[in-house]
Amino acid sequence: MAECKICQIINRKHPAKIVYEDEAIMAVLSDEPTIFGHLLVFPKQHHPTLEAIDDKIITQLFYAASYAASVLFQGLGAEGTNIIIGNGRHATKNEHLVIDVMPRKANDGLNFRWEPKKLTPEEMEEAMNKIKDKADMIKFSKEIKDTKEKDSKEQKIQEKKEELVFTEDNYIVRHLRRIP
Amino acid sequence: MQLTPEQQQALEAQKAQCPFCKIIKGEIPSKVVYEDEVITAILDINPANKGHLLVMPKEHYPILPLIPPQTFESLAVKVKQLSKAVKEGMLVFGDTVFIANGAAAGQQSQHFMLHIIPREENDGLSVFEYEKITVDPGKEEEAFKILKYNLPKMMKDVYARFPLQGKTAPSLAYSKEELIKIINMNPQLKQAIIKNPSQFKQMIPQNPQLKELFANIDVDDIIETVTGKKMVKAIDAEFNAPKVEDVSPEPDDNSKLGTESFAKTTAEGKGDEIISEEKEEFQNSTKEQEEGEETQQPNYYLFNVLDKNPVLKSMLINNLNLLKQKMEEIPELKETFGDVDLTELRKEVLLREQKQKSETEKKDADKRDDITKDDNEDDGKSLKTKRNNEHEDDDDGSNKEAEKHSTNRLVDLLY
Repeated sequence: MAECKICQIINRKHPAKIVYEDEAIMAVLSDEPTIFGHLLVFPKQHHPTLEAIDDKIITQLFYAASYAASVLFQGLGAEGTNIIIGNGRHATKNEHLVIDVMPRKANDGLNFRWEPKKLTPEEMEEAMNKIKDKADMIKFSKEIKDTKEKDSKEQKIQEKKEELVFTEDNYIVRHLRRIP
Repeated sequence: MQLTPEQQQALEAQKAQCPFCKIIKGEIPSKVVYEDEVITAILDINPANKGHLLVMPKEHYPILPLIPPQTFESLAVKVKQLSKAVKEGMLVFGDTVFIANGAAAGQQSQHFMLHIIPREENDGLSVFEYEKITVDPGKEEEAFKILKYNLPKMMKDVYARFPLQGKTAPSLAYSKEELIKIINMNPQLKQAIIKNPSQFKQMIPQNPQLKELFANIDVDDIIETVTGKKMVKAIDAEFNAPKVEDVSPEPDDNSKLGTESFAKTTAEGKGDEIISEEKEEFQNSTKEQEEGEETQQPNYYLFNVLDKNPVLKSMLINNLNLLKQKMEEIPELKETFGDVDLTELRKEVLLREQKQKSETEKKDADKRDDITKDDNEDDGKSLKTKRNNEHEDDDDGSNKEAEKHSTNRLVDLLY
């Protein structure tokens, strides 16, 4: 399969204005800007969605986007910034996850204001329950992780204690033997 | 980002009136989907799509860059998990994560929030389809420079806190060429490097600014390029300028030429018998040049002494301490070297030798390829030479004459 455009940028096969690069992520000026100063931040590994990316790298991506926003605020005199992640199908045409950072000014011609959809209270309730079901898993999985860690820690402590007892015994025994 | 006291005050006032703070506290009813110690996620009451989620830090922050690290990191990871929950719950394959910082960007509330909007085919949310515009290249270049300078700086700490296994922090994106450019732009820095490279090298770890600049880069390489270039050019003028396509095909002879002609000027040239007429002509031309150069370059004399005494030269290069010791013992040696910094001299000699080698190699290659040099390059070279000469003007060789005669005996004295 042919490389996606972002991967081509990463592999230096496609020219780009790289403003930041490290082992995991990269930030470039967009060559198809929506606005002056349009910046793209993306992970170096080819992933289509946020969910596939390691937590550490996600955090780094967010930092890069946030700092880029700060730089655009102060350096380019933007009055605001938009950070938009097209995360998966129908949200973006890219196959590679990209975070768009755009400096904004009043009346710059861009508008991200959506038309609110009118939903019935039942529909809202339904959406809430559906998402909450899955969101609860976050806590649940976290608890499992925590208890697992706790268990392993306790186990380790117990093992240590056993070792201690053993050595103490030895120590005492040795002392006992020394006593004439 | 740091807030001024006034801004802090304004923030407090904002906080007191913020409806979202009340939602988080439970004073206003809402459809809470997820909640933990740091963040709350609720359903938007004016959704762009069914299942539109708002993720907020519990503490009141107006914009993303103002969120402190701990909350920020937690938020980032939770966005990923909540995005997954939205996709699974609403049975969609994609969502748009939207952040607006500032009213100009479309931020409507004072409380920072992050939108997770589930996406479907033809959902009418064309606002997230970007249209390409053309940007003035000059302006873009400016933005590029600003970002390129600032972003790596800001990201450095972040990277240090999230190291990937066994990988060191990235360089500050200064390549060798960029660094040399920076050095050229700072005459003070440049002078420091040229005057005393070894001292400069020691300075680097002590000075945080320098440390940052020279992180992850070969300092020796930089020093060599900065000082080396100058050295080469000075030597070019002395030795190589008239040496177009003459006399000796052997590199050894080439490097000695200067010495030989020098010997002639000091009226001691006994070994000159072998030299052909052609050579003599050439020497005469160099002689004049050297005499002009000599007054400006006190070290030039020492180079000749060293060229004549290979033992002394090798001692200087290989065993500096022994030479210093010998200097204490032998007054004539001390007289010759006078107040010259030996470590400095050693570096210069080493550099010169290297250059001579590469020069002869290059010359050979040039002869074969018949390459003509760029005019611009030559201009730059001569300019640099001039500057170099000016720079070294401050030194002086006062007791030259006396030294000249004693040089030939130095070897005998040494052993």
